Amino acid sequence: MTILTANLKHLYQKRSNWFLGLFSAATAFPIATAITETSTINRTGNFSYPILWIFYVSMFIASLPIDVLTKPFSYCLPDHTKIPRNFLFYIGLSISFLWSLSFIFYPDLNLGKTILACLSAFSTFTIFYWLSVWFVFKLRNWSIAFALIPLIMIGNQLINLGAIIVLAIVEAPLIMIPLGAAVNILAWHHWANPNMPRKYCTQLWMGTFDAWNTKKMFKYKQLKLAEKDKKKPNLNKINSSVENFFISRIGRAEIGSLGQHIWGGFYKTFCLLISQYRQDWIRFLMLMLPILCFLCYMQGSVKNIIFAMSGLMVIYMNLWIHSSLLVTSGRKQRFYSTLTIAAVTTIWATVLVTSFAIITQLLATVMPPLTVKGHELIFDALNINYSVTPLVMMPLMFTINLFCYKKPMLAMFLAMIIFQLFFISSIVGTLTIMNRHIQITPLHMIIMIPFAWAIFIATLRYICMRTCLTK
Amino acid sequence: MTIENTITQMTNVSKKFSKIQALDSIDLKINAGQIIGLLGANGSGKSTLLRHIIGLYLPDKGQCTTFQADAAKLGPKELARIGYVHQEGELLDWMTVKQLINYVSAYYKTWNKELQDRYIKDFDISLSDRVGSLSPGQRQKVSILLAIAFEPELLILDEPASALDPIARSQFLDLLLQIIQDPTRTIIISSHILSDVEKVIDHAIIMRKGQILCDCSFDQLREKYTRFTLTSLNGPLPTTLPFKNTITAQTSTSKAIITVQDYTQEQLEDIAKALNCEIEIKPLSLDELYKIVVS
Repeated sequence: MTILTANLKHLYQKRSNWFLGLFSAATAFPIATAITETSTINRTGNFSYPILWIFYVSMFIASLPIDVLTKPFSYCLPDHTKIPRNFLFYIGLSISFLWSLSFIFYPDLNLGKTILACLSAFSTFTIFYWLSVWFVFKLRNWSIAFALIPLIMIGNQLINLGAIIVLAIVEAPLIMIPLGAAVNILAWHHWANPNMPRKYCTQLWMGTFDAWNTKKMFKYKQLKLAEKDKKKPNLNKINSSVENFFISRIGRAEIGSLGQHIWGGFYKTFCLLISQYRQDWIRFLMLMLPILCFLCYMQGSVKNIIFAMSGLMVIYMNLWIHSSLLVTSGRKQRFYSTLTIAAVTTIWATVLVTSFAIITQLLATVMPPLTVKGHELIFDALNINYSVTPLVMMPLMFTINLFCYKKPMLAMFLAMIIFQLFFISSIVGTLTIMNRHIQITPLHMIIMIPFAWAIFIATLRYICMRTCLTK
Repeated sequence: MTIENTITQMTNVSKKFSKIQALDSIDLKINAGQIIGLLGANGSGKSTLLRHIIGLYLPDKGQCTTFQADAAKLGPKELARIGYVHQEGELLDWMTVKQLINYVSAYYKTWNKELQDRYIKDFDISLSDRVGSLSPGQRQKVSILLAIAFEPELLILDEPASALDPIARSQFLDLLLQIIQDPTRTIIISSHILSDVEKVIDHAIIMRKGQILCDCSFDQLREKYTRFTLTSLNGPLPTTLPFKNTITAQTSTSKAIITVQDYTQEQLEDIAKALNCEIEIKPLSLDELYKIVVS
């Protein structure tokens, strides 16, 4: 077996790669369909979809050689300097070539121009491919590049980014082809650097789906903490007055009392958040204001994401039930302290979203209508009546958190289903189930509150009293 | 032995994780003052057994009591008498070591500040470091400090020295030797480093595949198995040696190294005399005893 085939074994040995393969195939199909359908109608940015596909799929592809390079034995491999490069080139050129053939369907081009467009597309796709690979090799946790998706989508919406790129491919092949060739030559030399295995060997690099590898994530967090501590020693540390406040309350409460454990739970959950209010809270509000404005200018129900977002944020929140640190917390204490933490977090989130709704109501009186690409956008404030949403959403998310604490991927999957089905598509408007249209109103939400909490409390009680309490 | 002396008792406890039988009909009684070595290979059920004692795990079958209470229903009063060093050493990573100690100590009336300070000094623990940025060895030191500083009656150490360097391990053993001076304190120590455990334990529990193979005092275990060298004083050794219950035997013409079961020293000396041989009896180490029991 050659080293290249050993690398390729990753493709079928890792279960996550099966998922990735299916995902890539599933997304490639609608893109290909969109391209062929559009070809007869008009020139649109649909031909740029493969770029997005290549950009994200390539990240997973590039993470495979990283997996090998970071292993302690990578030094011992024969040809270890060339193999990652060869692997990346074979895959990159192949997928870029296949997608470049999509330009055969580009309308109104003669044979010569079609060939040029294909070559240009091939060059352009490889540029994005290498950009994506560079991200993976540069960023220790490259999954943060997924945060670019909303930016790309907004960019596409506002300036028709995709159409611009397609136009550059078709109209300026003599620029794009040499540009792509130059990037490929640079990449060829860059990834043949003999120091590369030395650079990555035994380094902690997050690979495909490592966000769900708890042990690796733990090490990664440790590393990030150490790096942060070096740069800014006072960042993310508990304020001494916050510490004194909580510790004195834990110490003052009767030993072993529920009060002691509830205060302890508050301390563990909120101390950092409260300590950082000066830095993080102000930063958070500064960030939220433009987001709120942006969402309120968007038509439809998408702005209501604000009401449901808090639910998603608690999906991985540590509820301390499975903690093995402090064994003075019996099962009963864990139950009550977790219930209190969940209730306080929910109230906190409700107050927060209510504040956002009030802020947008106030802003609505001063924000002018905007005209973008001929469309008039009116600032539509958040409906304050939907501020009760966290009271339903959060207990349901806490329930998923409890059930899926060992399967975070499943937790996120379930959360997304609830998030999508219940709130985004139906919060204002109708929810269609079996051809019946149900209008979800704030009244429905209020009725659902006790049910959501009953589900959470029953689950919490079951987990605390009837199951094993370690991870 | 009175019932008050029983710290923990397991009766017919079984636990299964999907297809793996982690504990299989365990009967166990641990009395106050015992220093127990819980030995076994990875996956033999040691950690599962310890977690049943503190009520973190619930048995599928059978009953487990600690401090005369159902382990699953242990409250803060009972749990405040138990110190536990977890194998994975779960701590609150965003705190500094000092903050973590302040936080944990707030829960215990019996927190010994003097012991805490001594331990911090001996083990060279930096209080200002963030817990999340500590090395595995440093984390383990902090875990040990949190488990012992309130002087618990029952101290459970699940692989406490696995991440410690040789110097820290030796310091930890010294500390354990000091702790065991208190005759009322019960310690259960699970470890792979048998040479370390050997110095402190007075009772051994050996596990394999969720079952207890051996539950006896260390002295009994050492008396049960004996290894000796038999050297012929005159000519070759007889081809058949008259030892029943032979476990291992390496023989040459005039010399044999034999491990036997259930022989007293006097009995062995008598046999050697009858064979016109010289006998040299060497006590078996815990490591050797473990291998014999498990094999």
